[in-house]
Amino acid sequence: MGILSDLLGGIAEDLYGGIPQEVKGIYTDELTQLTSPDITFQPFTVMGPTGAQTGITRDPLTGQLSTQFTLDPTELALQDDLLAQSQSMLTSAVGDRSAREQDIYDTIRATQLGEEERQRLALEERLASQGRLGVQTAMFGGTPEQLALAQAQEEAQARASLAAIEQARAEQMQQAGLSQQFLQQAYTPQAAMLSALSPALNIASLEDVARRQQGEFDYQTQLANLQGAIGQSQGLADLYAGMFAGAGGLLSGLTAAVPGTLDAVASIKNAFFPTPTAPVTA
Amino acid sequence: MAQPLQSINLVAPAFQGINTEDSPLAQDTSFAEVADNAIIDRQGRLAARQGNSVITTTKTVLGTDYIHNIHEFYDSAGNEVIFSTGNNKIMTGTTTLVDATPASYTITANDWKIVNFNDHAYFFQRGYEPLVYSDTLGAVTKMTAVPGSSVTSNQYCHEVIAGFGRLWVVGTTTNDTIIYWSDLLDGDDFSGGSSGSIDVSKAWPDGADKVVALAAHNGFLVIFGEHSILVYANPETPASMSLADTVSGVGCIDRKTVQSIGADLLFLSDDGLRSLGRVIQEKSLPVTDASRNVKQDLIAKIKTKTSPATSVYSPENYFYLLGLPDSNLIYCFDLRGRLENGAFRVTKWPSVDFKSFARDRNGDVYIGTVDGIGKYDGFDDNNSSYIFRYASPGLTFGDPSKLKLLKKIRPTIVGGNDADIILSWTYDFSIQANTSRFRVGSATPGFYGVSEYTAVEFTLGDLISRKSLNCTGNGSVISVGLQTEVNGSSISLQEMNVLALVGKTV
Repeated sequence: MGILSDLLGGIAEDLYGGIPQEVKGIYTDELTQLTSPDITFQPFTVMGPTGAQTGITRDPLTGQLSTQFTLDPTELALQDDLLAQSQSMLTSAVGDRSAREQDIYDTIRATQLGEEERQRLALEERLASQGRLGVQTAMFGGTPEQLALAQAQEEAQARASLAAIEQARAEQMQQAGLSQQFLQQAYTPQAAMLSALSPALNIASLEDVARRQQGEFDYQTQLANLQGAIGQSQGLADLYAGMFAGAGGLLSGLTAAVPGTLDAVASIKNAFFPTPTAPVTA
Repeated sequence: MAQPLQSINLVAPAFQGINTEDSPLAQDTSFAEVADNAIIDRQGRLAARQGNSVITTTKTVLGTDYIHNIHEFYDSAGNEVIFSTGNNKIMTGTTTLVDATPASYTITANDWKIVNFNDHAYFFQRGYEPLVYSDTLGAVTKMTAVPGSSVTSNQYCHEVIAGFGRLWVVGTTTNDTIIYWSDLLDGDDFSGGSSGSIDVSKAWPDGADKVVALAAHNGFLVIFGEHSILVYANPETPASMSLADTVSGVGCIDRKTVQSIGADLLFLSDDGLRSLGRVIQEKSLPVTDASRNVKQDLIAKIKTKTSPATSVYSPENYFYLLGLPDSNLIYCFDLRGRLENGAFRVTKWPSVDFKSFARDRNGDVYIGTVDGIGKYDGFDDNNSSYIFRYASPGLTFGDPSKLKLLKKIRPTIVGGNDADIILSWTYDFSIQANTSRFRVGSATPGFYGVSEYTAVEFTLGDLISRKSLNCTGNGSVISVGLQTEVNGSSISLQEMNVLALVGKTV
């Protein structure tokens, strides 16, 4: 190479070498990466005045959200008790009435047996005084009085039986109603807990909106800052581009006069304009 | 100085019957110490009873046995059959006894009781299936063979009565306290309709007894135990009948001695003949001792009795006959009226073989003997004579402390027809009697309605004999008597006049 080329080359190298690091960094430093703010849903827990809790959690592995309803132990015990009672009542309501009917019948009869026994003894004494204890007849079985007493007792038994059936049926209806009531009441703590969740959801929603807006604001701020930095680098680059354009003009004159100057210019150019990198994605 | 004769005039002697209970010294002379084969006749005199006019001529079926039971069956259509039992058979007929025992029906006892009810005759004996006869059935039939019948061994009873529209039976081989009654007007249905039963074992006033006899009396069902009596009211509706009265200590010992005499119910108790009076106004039914004047004698006979007693009530003859076959003795109770002590006048018929009695609707009294069936008629027992005997109680002529010298006895005797009369007198209750015999006149009286108008010679009436007989001996208490053999003619003692000389005090 001739003396001119060496000269130009030397100049360019001097120029490039004299560029401040900040300018160099514009082209060599990695661009600032914008990170999106975290506006994802934040799990929360609601605790009611009775101690019942509703918690929304995220599975750390799967990221799946789940909701836990936790009643207060007292409420839970009450709920269990009410559910058990409801089930018991329901079982009774749809079960066989015969045993209950028999119990009711026995109870009713127990109230009647005393008087019946007194009447029987009175009749026995009356028949004994009349010498008729041993009467047996085809018409009445015993005496007409004994038949009448037996009929009365049979009627009382029949009435007791019917009353027992009706009472057992009424009790089943009552048990069905109670079962329903118990069932409803069993979910009262849960309902209260869910009721407590509703205002919390509103509050959480407000908080979520605020967080998302805040995220957006943060993102726009970061973007503006980035654009400012880019502008600043652009200005600096333009500055050095001007400087190198002057230098280039100088070199152009030199290259026309001295062969090899273009290569030197080309080197300078590559020095100022390296190949651009891939854009940054958020 | 001659003493005047004192007279005791025994007018209608013994018209109050036998009295063996009171002291002979204190007795009314109208009583008798002995009155055998006697009755009180329509004139109130002591008279010979009637005899047994046997009407059976053919008794092959009876064999050597006697007639245990006689019963007249009759129905509303006028059919009539005389049933009798004996030789373990049931027989029909009177002149010729015909075996009417059902085929394949074995009988080993003859203590049947037969009643009429609703055109049927019902035969009951303990342990035997009841038998039934009706004109429709045509033969004595086992009750189970009667269409529509319903009977079990519970009704194989000993006692039966027909009353209040039903049959009432009691006394099986295993039970003597359950009385069964049949359905209304259906004597062979003991399980349907209004039939029923009553166990009176809890009703006895003394706690326990067994039913011996039943009777329908005064609208009551009278249940005789051995030692007590139950009286049930309203037996027309048996299911509602109730105890109206009880009698303790008096019962009936033989079901065939129960006879309703209208106002009273007579029955043999273990202490004699009793009567259950009919009292409409009052609640209770008074029990009286009808055999008060022969009580001890009768009780002694009852104690030795092993065969069933028998009885009959004959309103035509005014008597109730109580037969004690074991003793061959009949007590004849005159029912015209009661004595002051409530007893009936009674005479005895000893040494008779009358085993059973029955009275038919015509008033005839049937007598069952070994000869078959007879009627209380005539004055001989199947052509055999019997002894009519009378003995007075002790006669003291008002002063038992003084000696009496019996001078004359002047009996007034009605009838007799050539009968030998033996007068007897004893002193101071001696067994050995002084006797004097005479014969009454001969006359066979013929009465309208008693003997056939053309068969018997018309007479002016009964023969009356007055004979004065001289007597000997002396004593403080005199008994006079008379006996004669009754053999075809009636005889009665109208009067007996006793003349005695009262001497010194002994």
